[in-house]
Amino acid sequence: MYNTKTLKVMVISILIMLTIQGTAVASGPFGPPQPVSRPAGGLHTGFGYWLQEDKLKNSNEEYISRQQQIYSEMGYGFKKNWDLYARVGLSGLKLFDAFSPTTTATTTSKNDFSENWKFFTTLGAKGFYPVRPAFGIGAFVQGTYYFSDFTDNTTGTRNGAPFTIELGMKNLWDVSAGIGFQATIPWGINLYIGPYLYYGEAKVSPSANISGLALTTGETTLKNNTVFGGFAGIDAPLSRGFRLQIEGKYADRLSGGAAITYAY
Amino acid sequence: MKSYLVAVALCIVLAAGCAHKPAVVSDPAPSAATPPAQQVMAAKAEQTPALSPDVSAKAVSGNLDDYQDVEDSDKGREAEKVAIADPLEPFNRAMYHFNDKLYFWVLKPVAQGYSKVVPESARVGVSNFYTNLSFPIRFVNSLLQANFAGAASELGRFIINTVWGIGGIMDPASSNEINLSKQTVDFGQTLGVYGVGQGFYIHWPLLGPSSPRDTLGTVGDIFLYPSIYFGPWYVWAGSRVYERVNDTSLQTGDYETMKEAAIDPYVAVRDAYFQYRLKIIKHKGGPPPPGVKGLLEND
Amino acid sequence: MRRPFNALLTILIILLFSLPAHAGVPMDTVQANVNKVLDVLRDPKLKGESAKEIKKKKLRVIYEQMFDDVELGKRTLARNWNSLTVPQRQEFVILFRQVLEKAYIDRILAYTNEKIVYERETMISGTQAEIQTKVVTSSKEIPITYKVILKNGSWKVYDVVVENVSLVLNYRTQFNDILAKNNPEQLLEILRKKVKGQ
Repeated sequence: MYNTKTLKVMVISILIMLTIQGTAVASGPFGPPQPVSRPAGGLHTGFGYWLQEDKLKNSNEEYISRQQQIYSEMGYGFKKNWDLYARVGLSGLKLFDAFSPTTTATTTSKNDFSENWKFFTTLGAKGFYPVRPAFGIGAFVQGTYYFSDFTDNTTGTRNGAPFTIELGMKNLWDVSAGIGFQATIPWGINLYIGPYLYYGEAKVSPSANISGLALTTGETTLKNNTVFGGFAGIDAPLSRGFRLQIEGKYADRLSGGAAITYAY
Repeated sequence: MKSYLVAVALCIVLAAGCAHKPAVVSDPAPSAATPPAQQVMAAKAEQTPALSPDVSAKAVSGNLDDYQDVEDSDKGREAEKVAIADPLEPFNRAMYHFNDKLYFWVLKPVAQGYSKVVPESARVGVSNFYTNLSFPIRFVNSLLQANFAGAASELGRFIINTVWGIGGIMDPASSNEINLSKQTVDFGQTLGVYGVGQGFYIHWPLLGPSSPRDTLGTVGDIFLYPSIYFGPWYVWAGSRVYERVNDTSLQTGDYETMKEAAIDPYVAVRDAYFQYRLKIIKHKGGPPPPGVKGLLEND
Repeated sequence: MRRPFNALLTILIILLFSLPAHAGVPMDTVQANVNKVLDVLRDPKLKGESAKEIKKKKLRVIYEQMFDDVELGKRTLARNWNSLTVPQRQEFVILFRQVLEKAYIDRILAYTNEKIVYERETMISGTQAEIQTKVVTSSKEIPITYKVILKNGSWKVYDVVVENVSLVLNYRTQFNDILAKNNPEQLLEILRKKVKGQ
């Protein structure tokens, strides 16, 4: 089954997860393993907010990123306990210390890269297997793609000479897959927890090379630091057919969000 | 737009197999009342005919005594024997005739072709979308009438249907669980609630039954309809035409039934329009409109 | 000793628990009649074109039980009723019923399982009531109110209000207009022609 190498990687990942701060570009919640759509199949819609914190790493440096997202979701359950879902949303991206100079010869007017309101889309599928009336296991796979690039610029001086530089974060995407263990407690509330694997990357494209600014040395790729994380959440019924989901994820940093869904 | 009484076309016992929104009217009709009179005079021999042979020979049970101005259940409320003044009747009848032909020659065939291509659930979705789009009209007019509960209901409907109803295509707010009711309000009705009288009857080509007050209301509501702000006027016009075709496709048969049931379809449409406007104004509170003949007289 | 007591208790229990708390006799009557109609429409043995005439006959019977033809006729003509002779009144009532049947029967026969919700019963007086119902179609809800009157011990419908428009008032306006220019005999001729399909 698993060779020793894979096992080693996974163990190391967990250790890394516990010790070093790592990040993922995994966007949005995974949701409860049991599909929101009504058991016999059906449509569900939702609206949510998510705060994602990651550590992104290229070959040299690590940066902490923060994204705030709002999104609209639509899903359809084709059969009992299978769901396909899609999300469209707007996201902002902030990369801390992207513009922080590493030498004293360079100064910049700001340290953080920041841009808001770019569209992204997520597609996912999940299946659920009930083990007991109050317990079940689900699996999901999900991918996210950002339609536009994030750009931000800064001015500064290099050895006294002023400059303006623009940094682009392009082609952001990620995939995740995981399993969730779900328990149902009274009042129709589902609690879920599980591990997940993911990979995400973004291409960094500077408009010029300014020594002292690490990200401007050339085109690099930022990837997530850790491939492994854990997620947990609550899915509770509200009145009149609405449900509330609150979820948190931890890979290197904590991310979390909430959504309200409606099942037709 | 206004909803009518093509629903009078709905059956007595059940609204069987039918209708969807009360029709927006481009209701037409040929004038039937006047010609038969002459023919009838000529053909008639007896003054008090026995039952015509084609009439059922069954005796009529019940008391055939004289009619009295009975304690009608609506006495004391408005509008029993009331009618709208119709000084422009020849013009109105002509316009009605035009709309009738327009319906049968243009609108109905287009709507039928459309409904063959587009499944009903999609057409219902389009209808829901347009209803959601006219939220500002219902919201603002509810506020103007100090109907805050209604305004809140409309706002709730709009938010729920837009966010969780895929931009208004679905209508979860009308489901039994959520049950937020749609307010039947428009600017003409607001004016009525303020006490502006109906005035007299105008039957516009294309638009259908109206009155000076309700025409002013229609114009006012145009500015609350979002599509007018998106691009040139023909975008708005095209959108309204499409909306009308879609609505008609969901209501085919209602107008025909109404015509079949009516002795004088033009009058039937006029009266239905009038009763409907009166009722929706009354239900929002407000003084009874002046200029209505015979108000509070019972019959 | 015990038996009469048990019997009394049973009767009491039956009386107490079989009377619905909210629906009175008027709503029950309307509901029963509508259910009879639905039974005819849903009858699996009466499917197809050939069964249409049978259905129509059955529906006519129910219509007579449910509606008060004369009351309907009187109220649509209102004061004009008095200018009809008794035979004319008789013929008018029959013709009017036929006009309604001809206009609506196909719509009624096209019923496909829409849901009917009985919402409320309002007593206007000791002998008049209004029953508010709702027909739920795939895309719309249609409010229908039946106005009923107590005559000879049974509640009969004398007006139907659909989407805020009263059937009686709608016809009343039409008949008023017609009788302003025609005499009663001419009105009857118009109705005869309409029934014949001209």
